[in-house]
Amino acid sequence: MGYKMMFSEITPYFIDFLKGLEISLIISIVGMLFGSFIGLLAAFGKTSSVYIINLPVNIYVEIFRNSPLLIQMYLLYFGLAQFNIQIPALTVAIIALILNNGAYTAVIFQTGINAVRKEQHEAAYALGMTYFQTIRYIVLPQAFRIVIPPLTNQFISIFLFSSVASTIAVSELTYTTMNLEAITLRSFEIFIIAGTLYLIVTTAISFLSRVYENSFKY
Amino acid sequence: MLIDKHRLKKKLKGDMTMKKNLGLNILIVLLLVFTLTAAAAAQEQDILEKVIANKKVRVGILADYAPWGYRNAQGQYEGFDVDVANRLGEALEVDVDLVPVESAARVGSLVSEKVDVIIACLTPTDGRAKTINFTIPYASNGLTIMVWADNKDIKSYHDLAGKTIAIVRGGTADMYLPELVPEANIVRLDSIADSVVAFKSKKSDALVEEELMVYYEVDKDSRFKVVGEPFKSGLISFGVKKHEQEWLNYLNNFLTNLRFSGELDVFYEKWFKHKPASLAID
Repeated sequence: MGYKMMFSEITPYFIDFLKGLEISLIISIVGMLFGSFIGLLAAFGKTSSVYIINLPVNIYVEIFRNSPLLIQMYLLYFGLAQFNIQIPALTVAIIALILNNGAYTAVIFQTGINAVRKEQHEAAYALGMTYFQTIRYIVLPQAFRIVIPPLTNQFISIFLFSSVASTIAVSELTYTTMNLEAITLRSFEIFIIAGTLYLIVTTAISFLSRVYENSFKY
Repeated sequence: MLIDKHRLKKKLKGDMTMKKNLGLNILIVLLLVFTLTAAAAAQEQDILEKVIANKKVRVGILADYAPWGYRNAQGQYEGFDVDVANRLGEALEVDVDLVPVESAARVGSLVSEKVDVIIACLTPTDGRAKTINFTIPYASNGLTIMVWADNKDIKSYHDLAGKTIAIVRGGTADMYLPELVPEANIVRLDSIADSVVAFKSKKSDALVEEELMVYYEVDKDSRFKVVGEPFKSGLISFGVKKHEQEWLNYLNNFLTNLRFSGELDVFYEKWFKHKPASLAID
């Protein structure tokens, strides 16, 4: 009474896995890039002493950090459709990932910026640098070094969470995997392959990040 | 690597702690072997014996597929399949544990022994029959198209070309639509409820599902209408795991009796407004 594994039944579909992986990578990279940009701006917004900037940014960050990505995607996709606002699935996935990522990276950047010691600001002031010059030449380079590990984590997290987009039928890796499972009924083989593909990419990301970190260790 | 001579000697000679550890390890291994053989021995019981011994049959049903299986306002399961499942429990004289499964997970839940039988509007296609076993049929059904009442473009499945259709993964629509209408834009969602929401929120132009479910929806809600005739009609049977001949025999006998006694027709007329399609093959 055994279950024979038949990977041979899956091999014709391997191209589909790779196509799905390509879409997963694209939406994760776009989400990460634009999300980090928003996150950086939001980090400055959060630390600002101007109430009009501070409050909305904080509300945005709290909402998108503290609710599940799935709910965010469903709200944008099905929820808005009730008010006759139709957004295509791929766009919804990317927007949701960007907003979600923006909230998380805002906190990461905020920590990084605060970690640069006050003495650096005082020294820059003493040298006669303006606020923006301080930020650009002193604070950001140091903060950047600090935030690389958490940002890597965040990128891996975004990549893995892109699988949530499968529920709104974006043709990424998990969506393709579920469809192939329904066609071939070979659950174990299919999911092992999908899991391995995710693992390969995340391992590559961690490795590259570590190489990059080491390149500017003093 | 330097070798710690003192430690090495101690290891080779052995001391009281070593003996105690060894004893504990042997005990753990024996416990594991015992549990595994007990588990293996328990596997030897077939499903019918297990169901009777545990006084419980786990039936996989659909929970978002009125009128086959759905939750009523009080949160309880109701429907044609639910009535048949409860009748099965009476026949076996055991409790019925209704387990909601997603359309795509019906076959998988049998293979992985999460349920004992699937009574969830399951069509005994030749493809599925390679992985699980099916009983004799207890109903029949064909795929039907539901559109908004003011829709003029779609009159039959041929008109689905170029349209977006959201279907649930793992159902007969998933199996037949891609070959019948290759130019249709088919979007696969995780659950039947999602595909219905997608249709009602105009993400898809039509809903394609089994006729009895579609007629039920249209009767309930006049915003929608049915177009065309049912196509790709098929039977509906119970699904069971492979290598369970005794269980399969029992269920076939149960269904034969249910049909002969007329009870199945009673259930049918309670839930479906039209006459049962003949299940005779000739």
